[in-house]
Amino acid sequence: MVNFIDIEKFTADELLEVAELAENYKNFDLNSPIFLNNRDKIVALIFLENSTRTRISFEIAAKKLGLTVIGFDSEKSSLEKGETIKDTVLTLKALGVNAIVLRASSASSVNQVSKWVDIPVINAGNAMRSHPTQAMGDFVTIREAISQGRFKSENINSFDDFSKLKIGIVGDIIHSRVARSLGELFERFGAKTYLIGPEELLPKFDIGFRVEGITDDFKTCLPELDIIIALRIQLERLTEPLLVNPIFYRERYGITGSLLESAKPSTLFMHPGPQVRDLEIDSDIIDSDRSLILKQVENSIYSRMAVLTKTMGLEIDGINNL
Amino acid sequence: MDTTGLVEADLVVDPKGIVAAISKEINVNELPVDISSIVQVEAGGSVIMPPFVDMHCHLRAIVQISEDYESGCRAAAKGGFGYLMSMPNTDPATDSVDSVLKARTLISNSETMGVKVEIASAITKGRNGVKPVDFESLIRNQVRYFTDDGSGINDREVMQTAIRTLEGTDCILAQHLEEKSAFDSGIMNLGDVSTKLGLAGISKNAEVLMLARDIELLSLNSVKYHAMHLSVAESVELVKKAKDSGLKLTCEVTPHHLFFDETELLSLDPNFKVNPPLRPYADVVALRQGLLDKTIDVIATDHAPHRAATKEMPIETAPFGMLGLQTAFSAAFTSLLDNKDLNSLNDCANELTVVMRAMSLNPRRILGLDDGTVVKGEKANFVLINPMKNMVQTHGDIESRSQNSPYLGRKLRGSIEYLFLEGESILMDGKLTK
Ligand SMILES: [Zn+2]
Repeated sequence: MVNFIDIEKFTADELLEVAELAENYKNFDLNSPIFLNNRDKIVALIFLENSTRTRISFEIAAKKLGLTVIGFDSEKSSLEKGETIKDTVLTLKALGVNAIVLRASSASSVNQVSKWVDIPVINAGNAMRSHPTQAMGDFVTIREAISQGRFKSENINSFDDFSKLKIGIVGDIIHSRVARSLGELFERFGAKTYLIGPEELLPKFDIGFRVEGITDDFKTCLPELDIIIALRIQLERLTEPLLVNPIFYRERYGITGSLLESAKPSTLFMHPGPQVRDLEIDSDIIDSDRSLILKQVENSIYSRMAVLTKTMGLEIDGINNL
Repeated sequence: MDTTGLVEADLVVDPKGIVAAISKEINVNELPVDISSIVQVEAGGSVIMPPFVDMHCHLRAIVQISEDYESGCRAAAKGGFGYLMSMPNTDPATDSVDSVLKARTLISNSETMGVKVEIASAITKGRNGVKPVDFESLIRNQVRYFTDDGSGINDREVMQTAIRTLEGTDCILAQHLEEKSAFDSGIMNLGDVSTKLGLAGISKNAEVLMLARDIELLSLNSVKYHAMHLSVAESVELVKKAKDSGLKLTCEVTPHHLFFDETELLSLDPNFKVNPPLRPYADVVALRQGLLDKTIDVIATDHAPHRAATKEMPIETAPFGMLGLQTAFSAAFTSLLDNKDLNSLNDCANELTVVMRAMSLNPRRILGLDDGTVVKGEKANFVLINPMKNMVQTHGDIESRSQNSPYLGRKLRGSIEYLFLEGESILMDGKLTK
């Protein structure tokens, strides 16, 4: 595993290895001194698009691994002064940086950077294309829920039953890199993906992964679903104002108390964040035990630790033998 | 006899650049197609054709570092071209007698390797689609090719005025088909691949709607109309119907629209960002078919150099366009062969004839040039091709000042071995003579 750019580039076995390593990290005493061995390795976090959550998550992940982290925001950097991304990453490489984590508003930058430098490049979100480490964190979260018996009533008892899961992704599908990465991941492991949202936010062509159903009718689809992943409406990516108004959106696609009544008692809710409370998902659901949102945040750190470990080839004694 | 400059084959050029002998040992009657214009050179089963003519290339020039007349002509010569129509989307636009004369002076002061470069003018001032250029004075100064290439003429009235003004002249009115409303600031073809990548798409309607409108205008007034770089099946269909109904129009396809489909964009490499965009494979097949059945008249390169720093920008902001002069023949020939095995010249005589028609004979006819037939006793003027030889382009091969070739590392079939222009040896064994 040299780079980590798109979920679809990896086999199920490779993705499972990352997930299992993340799970090991979660159960490991991270204060153990062996992690300090990585201090001479430097990770550059280049965030050309604002993202507090992903950035902090990567920073914590790298620090937990004992890596040295340098931040690089576009506002504060020479990129603002007309330097190209190529010159920036070549300079970082020359300065001795060992890996690059890149968030960009362009779909292509992370692929381009991976060709310009021969150090690992990790995609922290590229435009609307991919957000693979978010998908890995969500994957770990779902695996955890299965192992805790949350879907026992549906006869989903272990990861072997993953393909029985029916997962609905709700909201702004067309602008969502998270939806694309999750869709590719669910296809790898056979789960059934449903895309749900107002027509203008659903794909009009093949989105590139296997879709079980695509509909603007959430209410009808809902009783089938084991997991509902609500997405953020990406107002900044809309080329024209949303036709549906917020009240209408909440009524039809919001994760609300009244909606919960027609879902199975075992159905769980997720949101990649940052969520708009009481529009995309109601506050009392976010705060209930039906919500996996905070677990997603926590697991994203372990997944990013696993991705950094695999791509950078970090050797950490004992971690694989737990 | 001094053998310097002598090309030994069944065709012999003497040291003064005169064709000394041509023999046609090949039994043409045994071939499946009419290859009367192909002259076989026995050595290695090579063929000769009249030098290629590119009706559509961007030589930039006028202080642009992506290309100049010299580098552009070196690339052209390596690709077997003897004549180029240079597009007017320079900066500033070539839209006046003054700018045309300036370009011509620049050309005559450049080493063009014997390649003739003609200057096209914009249709509208500044290429902004509003105010027509001064056609009369431009025509008086021997300008015969008008296009706003890079943009289409969106305003119906403006297009109609241009058609009426050029009606009855021998001038070509060439349209870059791009209806702004359907183009929608897209980056690549609108469809499955753009949806997967989350990139803004360009609808095929951007091309089809404008072509349909132009064909309608042509039914009212007749002009030498030329539809540039067709990219979708519907366009081929529209041209076919228009031709069947008796309208006189011509059209072109680029080698890259014959060779690549939209899935190349999965690499997110800005070198594959081109306008019109690469389309789905079904369109590629329709374009090849259109060429084979003569609906499409011309293969033109749309050679568009862009310096590395701009093609290294994010794909959303990188400029449209790719190199094409050096690889035009091989890319077109390879795409028409469609993986067919070649054991002898006979196996590819049809494809060779189609490419020769589209890259040499038809553009010569449309532009009113001589037919370029190789005649014993006259100055050697031909390109010699080895259809059996494969090539893989590397950065070092590129003569352009830019490196944005989409063919780097791809296996291409057929190789340009020799080029003679007006008795002068320009290319020998695939290498430029100076
Ligand atoms: Zn054009």
